[in-house]
Amino acid sequence: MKFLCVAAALVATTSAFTTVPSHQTVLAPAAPADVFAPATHRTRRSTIVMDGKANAIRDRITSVNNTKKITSAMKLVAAAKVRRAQDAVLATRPFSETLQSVFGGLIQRLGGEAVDLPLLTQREVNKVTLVVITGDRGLCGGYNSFMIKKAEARFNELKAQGIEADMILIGKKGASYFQRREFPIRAIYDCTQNPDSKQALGISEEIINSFLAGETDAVELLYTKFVSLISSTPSVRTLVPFSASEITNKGDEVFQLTSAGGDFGVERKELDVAEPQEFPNDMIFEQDPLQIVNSILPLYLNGQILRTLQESVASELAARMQSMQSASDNASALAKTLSQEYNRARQAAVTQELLEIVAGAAALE
Amino acid sequence: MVMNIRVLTPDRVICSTTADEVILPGLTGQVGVLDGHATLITALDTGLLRIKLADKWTPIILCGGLAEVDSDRVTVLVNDVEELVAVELSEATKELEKATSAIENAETSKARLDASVELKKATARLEGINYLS
Repeated sequence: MKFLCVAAALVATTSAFTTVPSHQTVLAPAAPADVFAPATHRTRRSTIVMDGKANAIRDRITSVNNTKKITSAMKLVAAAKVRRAQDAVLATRPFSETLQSVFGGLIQRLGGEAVDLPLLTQREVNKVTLVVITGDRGLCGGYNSFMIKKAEARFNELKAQGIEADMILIGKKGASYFQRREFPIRAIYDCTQNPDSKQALGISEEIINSFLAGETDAVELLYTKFVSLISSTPSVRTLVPFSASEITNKGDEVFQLTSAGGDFGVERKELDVAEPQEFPNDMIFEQDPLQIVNSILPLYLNGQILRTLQESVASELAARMQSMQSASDNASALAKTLSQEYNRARQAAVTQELLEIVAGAAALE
Repeated sequence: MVMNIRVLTPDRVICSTTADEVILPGLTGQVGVLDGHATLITALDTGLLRIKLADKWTPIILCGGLAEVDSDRVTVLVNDVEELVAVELSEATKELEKATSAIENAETSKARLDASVELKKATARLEGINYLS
């Protein structure tokens, strides 16, 4: 009889700490057989009552795990896009190779004659246009803020030298930053995820027309150079006026995504300079060679802008990949710490419950 | 009696095909090219490129560039090409008029440069439509 009493007390005490529907506890002393019946609807979790803090931790773990799923999916998406960006860069090869070899041939034909073209002539610099390439979206680590800082620093540097500067902004992030701070802006373009030649053409026409109309004396391009998946450098280079030697002597750099050993990696290599084309002596020049050079320069500018856009987009994607990777890693670590904390809380609840049962039983003695 | 023509823009190869005859929008006037043409190099204006293959003309609008002709090979490097869509003749004419008035009303030299590009495109478009129909 005493045993039954203890058993009933046990059931009663336990039930006081559980979320089990109350009718069970009412039934238990009346029909003890029920205690041993399989309680299918009971989950293991609900047998122990924990305080609000433990429940909060449990919710937090769920939410951290969900976020981790999202960030790792975003990482994979970015990785797939890096590959596409790489293909886009390779698709520009036939054009730039042909262009470089024709240009080289023409310069040879001109035979070191001083090439006197507006686009190749250094003017006294009173006004500079900065072309700044940022991304359209965030969640890519420091990519956008590095570029913005670099651009702002360059702008102030020019100002300190007494040179007037204005900006052509590519990408929503940079545009909103500089618009809000009321910097002089010449034009704004979206960056998009896969830049095409139409977009590059719009930008290069804007640059050439501003330069030829004398509204600016030099155009500098600020873009993010793609070094590897974990590093990229904000860089500055002068775009206009061109230097003929740079066009003929500098090979394009391409990057290639590798997946050796299951890890993503990037190889970067500088391609060989395309050989200058040998023009036969009886070649017909429909126009003056100088004029032909003049018509090549916009093509070259267009190609260069497209390539830097692609390179910046690749850097953005790589930065996003990297930051999503660290976000996922962080989520894993956080989930681990939280579940340890949760288990400790659960253990404490169990211990406390046992103590209460024992104390309850002792009180009945 | 065939030659190859390749049209390249910075981001892709627009077409690479054989042709019987090609008419290029040269900077100093149109240049017709048949198979076996002497080697030639010419700057291209914004205008209409026509490729004739099997008695059929294919028009492509080019946005300025360069063409190189070897005996049986034509390489065209351009900034961009424009899709030729079948628009009404009256609409294309209206666009041309708009572009003309824009160039007349241009105040800065940059606006004039911009407007002249538009005018050339509008002219090429109108010309292209005539070839489509």
